[in-house]
Amino acid sequence: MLRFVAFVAVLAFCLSGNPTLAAKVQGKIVVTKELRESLSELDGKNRKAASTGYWNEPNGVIQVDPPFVNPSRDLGVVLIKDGAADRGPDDVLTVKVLAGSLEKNLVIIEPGTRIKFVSIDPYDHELYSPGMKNFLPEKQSRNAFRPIDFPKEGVFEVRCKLFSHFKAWIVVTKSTDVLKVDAKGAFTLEDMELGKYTIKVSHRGAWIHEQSFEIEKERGEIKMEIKLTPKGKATGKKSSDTGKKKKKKNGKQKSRKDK
Amino acid sequence: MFVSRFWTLLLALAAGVLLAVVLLAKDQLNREREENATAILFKELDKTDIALNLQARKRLDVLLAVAVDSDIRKILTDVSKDAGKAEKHRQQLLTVLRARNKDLKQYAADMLIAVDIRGDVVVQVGKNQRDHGHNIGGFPVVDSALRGYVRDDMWKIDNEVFMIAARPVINNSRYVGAVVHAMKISDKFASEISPRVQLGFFAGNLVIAVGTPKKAEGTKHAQGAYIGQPLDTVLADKQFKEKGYSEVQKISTTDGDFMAIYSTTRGEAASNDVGFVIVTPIELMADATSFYNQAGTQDLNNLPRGLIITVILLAILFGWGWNYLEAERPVATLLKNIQALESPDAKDQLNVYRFRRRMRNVASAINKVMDIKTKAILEAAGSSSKSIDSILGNQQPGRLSSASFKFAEASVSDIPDAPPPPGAAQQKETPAAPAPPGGGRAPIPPTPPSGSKKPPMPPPAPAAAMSPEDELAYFKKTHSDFVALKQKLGEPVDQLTFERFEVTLKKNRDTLIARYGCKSVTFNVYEKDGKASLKATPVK
Repeated sequence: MLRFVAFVAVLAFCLSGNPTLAAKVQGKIVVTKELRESLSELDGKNRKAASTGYWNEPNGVIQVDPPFVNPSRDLGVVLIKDGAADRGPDDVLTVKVLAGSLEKNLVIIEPGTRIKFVSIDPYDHELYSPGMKNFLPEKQSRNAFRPIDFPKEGVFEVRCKLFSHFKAWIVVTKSTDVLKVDAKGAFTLEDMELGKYTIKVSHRGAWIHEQSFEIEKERGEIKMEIKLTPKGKATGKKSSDTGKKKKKKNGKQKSRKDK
Repeated sequence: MFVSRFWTLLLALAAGVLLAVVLLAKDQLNREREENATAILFKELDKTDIALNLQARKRLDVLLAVAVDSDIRKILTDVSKDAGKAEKHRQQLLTVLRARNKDLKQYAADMLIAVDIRGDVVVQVGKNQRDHGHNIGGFPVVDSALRGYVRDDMWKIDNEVFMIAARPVINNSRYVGAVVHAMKISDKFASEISPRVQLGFFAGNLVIAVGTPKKAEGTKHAQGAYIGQPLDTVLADKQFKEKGYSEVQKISTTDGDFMAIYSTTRGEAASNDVGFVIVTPIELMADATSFYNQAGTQDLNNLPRGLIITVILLAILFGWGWNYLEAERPVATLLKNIQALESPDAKDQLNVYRFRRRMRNVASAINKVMDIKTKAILEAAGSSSKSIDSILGNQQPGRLSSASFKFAEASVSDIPDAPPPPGAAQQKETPAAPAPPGGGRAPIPPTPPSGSKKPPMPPPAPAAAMSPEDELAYFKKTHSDFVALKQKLGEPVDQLTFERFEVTLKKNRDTLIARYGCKSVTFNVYEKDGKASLKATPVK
């Protein structure tokens, strides 16, 4: 009888409790249609200022899509834990140079990190960053690389002197971690320690979303969905048994540097 | 000379006005030509922009045939779903794309690219044909095409510039990729876009294409190197980028002068200082002679040559006429009157009233000089004898070659009264003055001429105040004395006829009477320097 009671108790514990050994966050970043349409408007305004061709008209067969945002390429997501110590410069980061942008349009690194720009494009480039004295235009052919150090925090726009459309951003900021997001916007955080966290999303060099949450239990899984909307309309929700939503911020939040 | 001077003034004014007109006409013509050239440049600037617009539209339209190709749609659909299938379809897509590009004929692309929905190049035909796999997403025209836009652009890749057209590829109502048509800007392209004026394209300060207008044969064309000369200045001008076109630039080449206007292009390449330039020749006149050099045969034939020749001849005729009337004729008259003084009947002075203006002054001056000279001679007569012919400037060799007449050294008031007629008693003493004919005071005793060996012979009776018969007898007596003395001295007397001798005596008698107002003149024959001489003495 005692053996049976003990077995039931263990079974009940196992069934009722978190089977994982540590807290885990399953998140997804959703790029809303509103955000894409707002980008379309923004592009339209920029297009008027920029030099365009003679013709730019819908195809007349099916509706034109708004600008596509690839979360893995176009977004930068960082995790910041309250009270965490600086993790120091990252290892040398290799970034591929394409015809129209970098392999990732937005790269987030720790201060003091070196980036190695490697061109895989058949066309020559002359990358530079306005205002950076150590990142001046310099011809870069295919397979050539340029190491550039980013010692200070800030947002650095990368341009190409030969292709005016070329734009990418290097965001240098202190963070606990830089999240890897796939093309569909999914990301996973494992072995999370107890504490308060903030997730910040950057697009085109600007922080467009900020969301905080708290890990209250050592074990369990948090499902998180971050919907990116135009500024002032960001939403986020969390459903879990290990933490609670602390607060939610939108794109009006300033970056840490600005603070 | 007034009319001659006025005529000269008129001619000078006319020449000055003509010169000013020619110079003004040259400047005005140059300015007009520049204005015309400027108008042409701005007109052609608009036309070129329109031509590029239509050309872009045409390329977008012909590209539709590529975008709707069923094979291309199917392959891009597969590759967009799974990038790993790109290698499998690459050769087939390459073949199809080549065929479709060939079908475009004159609009065939120099570079035709098929990209999947991610912007990755699946196949590329033409330039860099073996390249694939690289991503050209990020080019605005490619991004727009992948979203469904039909769009054109201009790219600068290395030192080449391409006109770009891009269309989305749609399959089952979904965007599965895009096709990108790139046409390289070349001399041929520039010639086709602008058949009437020279069109060039530049990238930075490098001219990459220069057209040769087909419908403007025979006109001069500027070389690319010359077209590129003002580019540094033009590109540095802020207004060029603000307005999109430059001020009209002058280009001087070895082939002539040109005017050019530089413009930015549409599209992304504009940010790389890519643009086009319209060039037109201009014939500026360097100097007034260019009118003749640049005149055609028809212009020369249309010249009113008869009128021009007539005007020239009239100008010459009037000039010569005024010159004759005001210069040559008065001088000739003066000369004639002066020469008349040499004749036996000449007056002792010029009649100044026969002359006008300056000639009158000249005649008066001559008279004055003659008076001064005569007076000087008379004053010098007291110490040395003068030949009457030398006094009067009337020397006539062969007539009286050795004759000389000397006046008494005394003022007019001391001149004795006329001597008695030849028949009256004559004073025989040498120092005594001869008795004037007709009675009265005896003439002043003549001073022996310098160099004479013996005192002159007593003067014969005076020739004035005598009857013609007495005077003739007196002249004959004087002639016979003179001939006798010459024979005595061994001089020839063959030429010395009485008729000529009488004329000379009368002439000298009249001259002295007119000059001194004396009543008569006596003539003395004497020897001077071994020769016979004759001396005339006025008798008051």
